[in-house]
Amino acid sequence: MNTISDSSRARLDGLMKVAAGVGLLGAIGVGLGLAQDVQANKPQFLQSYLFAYLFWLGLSLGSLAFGILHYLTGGRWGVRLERILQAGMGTLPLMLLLFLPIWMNMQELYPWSRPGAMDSELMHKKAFWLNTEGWTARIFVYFAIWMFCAWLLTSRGKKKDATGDEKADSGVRFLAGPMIILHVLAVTFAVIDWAMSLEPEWFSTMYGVIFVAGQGISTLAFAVVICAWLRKDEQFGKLFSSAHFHDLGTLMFAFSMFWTYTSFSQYLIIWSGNIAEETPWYLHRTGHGWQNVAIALVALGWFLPFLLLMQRKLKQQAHLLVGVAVIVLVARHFDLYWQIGPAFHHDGFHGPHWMDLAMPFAIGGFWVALFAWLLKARPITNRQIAMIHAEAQAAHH
Amino acid sequence: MSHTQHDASPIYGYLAEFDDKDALFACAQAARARGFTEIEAYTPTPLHGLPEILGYKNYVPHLVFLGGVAGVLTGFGLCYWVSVLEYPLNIGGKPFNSWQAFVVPTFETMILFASLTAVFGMIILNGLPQPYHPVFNVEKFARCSDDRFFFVVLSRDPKFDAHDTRRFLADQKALSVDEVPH
Repeated sequence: MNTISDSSRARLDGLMKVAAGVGLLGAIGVGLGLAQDVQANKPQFLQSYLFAYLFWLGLSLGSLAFGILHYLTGGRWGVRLERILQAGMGTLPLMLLLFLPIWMNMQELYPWSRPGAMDSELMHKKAFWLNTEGWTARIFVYFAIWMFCAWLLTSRGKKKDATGDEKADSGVRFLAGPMIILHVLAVTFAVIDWAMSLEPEWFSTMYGVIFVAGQGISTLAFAVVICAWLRKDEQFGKLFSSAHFHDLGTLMFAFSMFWTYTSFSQYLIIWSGNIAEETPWYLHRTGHGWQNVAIALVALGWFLPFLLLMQRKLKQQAHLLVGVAVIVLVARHFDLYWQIGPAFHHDGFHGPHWMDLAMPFAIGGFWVALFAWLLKARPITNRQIAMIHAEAQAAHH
Repeated sequence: MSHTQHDASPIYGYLAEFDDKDALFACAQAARARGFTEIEAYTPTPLHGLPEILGYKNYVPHLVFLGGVAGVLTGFGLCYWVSVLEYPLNIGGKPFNSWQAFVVPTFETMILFASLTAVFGMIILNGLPQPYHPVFNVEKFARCSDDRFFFVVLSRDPKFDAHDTRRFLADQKALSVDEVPH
């Protein structure tokens, strides 16, 4: 039996309503901004939309990745996060729906989809991949893979928890290896389609894994915030112990290093090679004001988390770790903004548009509302309750 | 040193023997509550939380951090000295001070210095190698590497009193309390 207190459900209900309110207000705000002069504001609206969309999609996909990963690695962190990750990956249908504006305005965003763009010899060779039919079909392929994995994890996990039958998810355990490979491949090709192809002449084989790492660390940071918020409830307080935050902090440290490693490797290789096909991408991102975004990104994405997450005592205290998590979430926005923004602004960085700031709230409001609604349905599992009891008993011995 | 008068004590301290880790934990907690500061515990396996109760401060992480910083400075300094000052080479027309290329060696020296500091810092701060220790004088201490837990109150503790401390340890469900000669 779930013995979670009514106060937690009430709090999740409150989160859902506040988030939906924020989402609605944000949507009305950016909607009105767009409506003022559709023709003039549409490009900025779509750029901000893509940026914010990729951030929140990253949390859905990061949740799925950790959900699968837990079947491969085990560990208590995964048992503790089970429902949070499932609620996170449960937002994928919403993200498919929210892809509609991007798909409908493909030509506005992606230069290769415009008539005549593929005429050059180089682009002609890329036409087998970069064509509107293939690109559209692949949206459904990616989402089919992700949603199938998410459904498998969630439904089998629920069955196992309800029946107590340890074998209920043995199929998932068997499939977890292939699933994580398929997932990473799908994310790689998806970000090639949706972000890298904004500048279709440029390419990098490191690109996908940078996104995988970024999605990983932002998901962990989001989980830290949610766990810290939930632990005000007594039962969640026991589930999300200081050992749990230590685990999450250590995972965040590892993923911060992973993201830094991949991001810097891509830069180092292109800098060393110094060939005309590759360097423009970085030249646009390290000059005309964009270098300031890059410096802020290095400070927020690598330096601060690296320095702070080294400290064991900090990782064990939820309220301090939340501070780092907020830095990480802000850094993830800087990362995406720096990856995508210069594609539309080769002339330089002139400060963020107000839609860049509003759009993450507009999309995020709906994302968090759905997340809270999914989590509210079953905030805690029987396995988690059993774990709380086992740990309490171990502590008495 | 304020310990001089206690160092003159004929014994090292009192050794209490336990066959259960919870009794050891309780004893350590009681000793701390009583105000003892010069206390030691010996166990067959590492016990989480015990060093904190004993008031043990671990300085290895701080040393490792300093080792890492020294590694960064050394690694980058070496690259800079070779490539800019001592033997500048034109490689692909890139600037002599190409920090991008220095990052990897700098990172590696950071890891090297930090890990060497961790190993040697741990050994030195543990006072190793240590072929002799007064507790070896008590024969039953040999079971510390098997199934017994030991707790020592040192005679140099300001609160140490030959009679009271022995009584205190005996009250902690100790299997035995022994005098540890120097």
